[in-house]
Amino acid sequence: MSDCHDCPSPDTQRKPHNPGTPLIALVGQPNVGKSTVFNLLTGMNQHVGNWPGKTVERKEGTFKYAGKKFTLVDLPGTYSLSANSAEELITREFIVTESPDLVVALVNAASLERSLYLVAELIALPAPLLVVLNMMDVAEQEGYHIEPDVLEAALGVPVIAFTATHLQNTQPLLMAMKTTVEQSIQHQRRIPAIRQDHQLVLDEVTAHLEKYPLAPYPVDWVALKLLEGDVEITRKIKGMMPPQEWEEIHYHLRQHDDALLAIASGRYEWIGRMTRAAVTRPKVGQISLTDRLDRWAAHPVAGLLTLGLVLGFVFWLTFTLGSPLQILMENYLVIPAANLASEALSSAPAWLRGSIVEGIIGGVGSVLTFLPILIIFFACFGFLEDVGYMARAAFVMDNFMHWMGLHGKSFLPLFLGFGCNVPAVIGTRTIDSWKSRILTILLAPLVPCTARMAVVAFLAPIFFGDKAIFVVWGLVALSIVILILLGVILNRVLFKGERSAFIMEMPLYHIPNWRTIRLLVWQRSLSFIKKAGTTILVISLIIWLLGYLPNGNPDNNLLTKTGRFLEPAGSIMGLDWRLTVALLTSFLAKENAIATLGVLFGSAAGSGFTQAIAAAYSPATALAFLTVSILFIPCAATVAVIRQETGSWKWTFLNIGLMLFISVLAGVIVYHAAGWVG
Amino acid sequence: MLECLLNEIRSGSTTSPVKLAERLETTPEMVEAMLDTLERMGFLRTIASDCKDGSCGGCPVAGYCATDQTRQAKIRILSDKNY
Repeated sequence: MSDCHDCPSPDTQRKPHNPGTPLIALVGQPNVGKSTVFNLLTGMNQHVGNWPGKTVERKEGTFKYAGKKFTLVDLPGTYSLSANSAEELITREFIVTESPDLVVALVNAASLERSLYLVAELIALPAPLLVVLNMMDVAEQEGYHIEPDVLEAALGVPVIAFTATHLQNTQPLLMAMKTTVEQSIQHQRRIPAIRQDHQLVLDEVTAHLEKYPLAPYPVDWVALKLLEGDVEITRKIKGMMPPQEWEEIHYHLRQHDDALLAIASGRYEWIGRMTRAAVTRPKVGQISLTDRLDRWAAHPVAGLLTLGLVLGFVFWLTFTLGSPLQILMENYLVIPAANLASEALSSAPAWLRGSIVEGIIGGVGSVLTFLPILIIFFACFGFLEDVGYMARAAFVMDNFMHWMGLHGKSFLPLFLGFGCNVPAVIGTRTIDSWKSRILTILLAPLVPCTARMAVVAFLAPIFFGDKAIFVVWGLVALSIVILILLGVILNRVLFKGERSAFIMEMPLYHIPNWRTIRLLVWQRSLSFIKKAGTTILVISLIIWLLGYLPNGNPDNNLLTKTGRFLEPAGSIMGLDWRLTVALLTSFLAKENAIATLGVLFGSAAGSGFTQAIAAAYSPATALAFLTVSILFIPCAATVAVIRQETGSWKWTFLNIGLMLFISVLAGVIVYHAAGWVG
Repeated sequence: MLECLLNEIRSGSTTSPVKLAERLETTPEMVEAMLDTLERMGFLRTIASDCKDGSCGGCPVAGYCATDQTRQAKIRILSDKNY
């Protein structure tokens, strides 16, 4: 670690900007409270304009203290003096070229490490500097105790504490400003140092620069900015030097093109020393609730167990609350509606009665009855997202995937797949490597999306009653295990073990905002209802029509013929032609599986869809159907984006083929294993 | 210090500021500040966690996933500048 330079205060070498009205520059990061302080000090004595040639607002005002008038300029918010934006460039140019009589650096006491980077740059400039610790109350609330006197001693510039939002007494601030402007107290500044090898080249460059008048730019500062590779300063200084001299400087700079990181490192080492000296952090017993919870929720092993329990609880809640509601909707809404429509249309042509009662009510009605299940899903996941848990779930899952050898960046889009596979596939754009993208796209449809989960959650209680929670939990686990195994295999083949990482800054845990969750549930439910009224309605009518044509004979219609033709393929998994057709229609939208079964089993018969389907199949067939449903080829929308994102039908068909193979294989194994177990 | 942090990230394991702070023997606050600086320098980039970047495409619930941004995780990855 490099040492600080103890420098005599450069302000002793300066002359005041305007002895009559000292000029004070107010600087700080965006949203640190500069405007509040500016308004507090200048009141009505301010005017707002634009910086010359820029659209950035310039605020200037005056105030009086101890019979003396001061001019205060509120400079645009900046994180550093690196001129990455128009705002930063204005601030830098003002401080460096206007030579204010005082620079007041407003820093966020609750985020001192972030704020001190700007101070690390300001302290190396000649202008007198006053550091104002704002938001001390927030820092105290978070358990940080900051000692301004100690920080002042460590920095070597005056430091005062202030809380702008509380409109506390401004006297200490005004007094500190006046004292610093008048330079009545001398300080020994401690400025950040850089690594020795870079220091040598810095000295070389400084020696070259000293031969030329660079005013108003300080030579040391210019040399440092050149070493950082600052484009703006490089351009300016290059124009001020003879070409041969510049070439020599440039030669030295080229040898140290890694200096930017080294210089910034030096500043952070300096910040580390300052904060270690002046900040007392919460002790072990005082760690925040977020930290305590994360010891479990973000732990590689305990976090996975927690995730499993959380998912289990969500399923339990869904079945405990959702399934009875779904049955109520069917008994008191769909069946009466079908009976009513059947009676009302008793004299209507058979095709019209059939299309409405069996096609629309049977298909769309059946799908709409799982709205309660979806609402509970949406509410649970909205709640988990809003309290901040979903970020932890993503984090522990990624750790787990890394352990299995899967590519790190793949997890982000895959995680989106729990909502919908479409954004999961498009989300792979964040992955730089083409191979990684392809792998992630191939894996994305294995993530059970909300629609698949809803289908499974709807059917599982019908077939398995109280044991449905274990069935659904097991199916989700099976999907993830297959995803990981396939990922490991493809990763080894395509990636050769390549890995890359991301850094996740997890949000604090929050008390849930019920309004946000309500809004989220409402919007998603509305979206589902719209889908039921469009895509699912059309598919239901098509399915009914295929079941009606050519002559309304239930044993000799197009749907039965198609189903019987496909039945041998389904029979290896124990599926009859109706389940096979339901699977095929789920290609257009996953919910169509329910709509199709609703049409095929009808709801006008009086007993209702759930009772009819529960009586029709054995547990082995039901389990095989649920297994194939959750793993089956992606929906049409997902296939379309796979084609769009890969730009290739080859990868698209490979994905469809892969999913078909996996789902059929899993269906066969599950059917025969379940039959064997009995 | 910044170089060590960047090397840790480049080593390829997904992590959090807390874990990085443990490895670098500093505070999570310091790591977060350094991550900000690395991002401004162009070594890292933040991935949008909402639908604003168009990544939700034809998703039927596009735009409804992102709740309050302060309740979302901030995810940064290495930028092309590292390769």
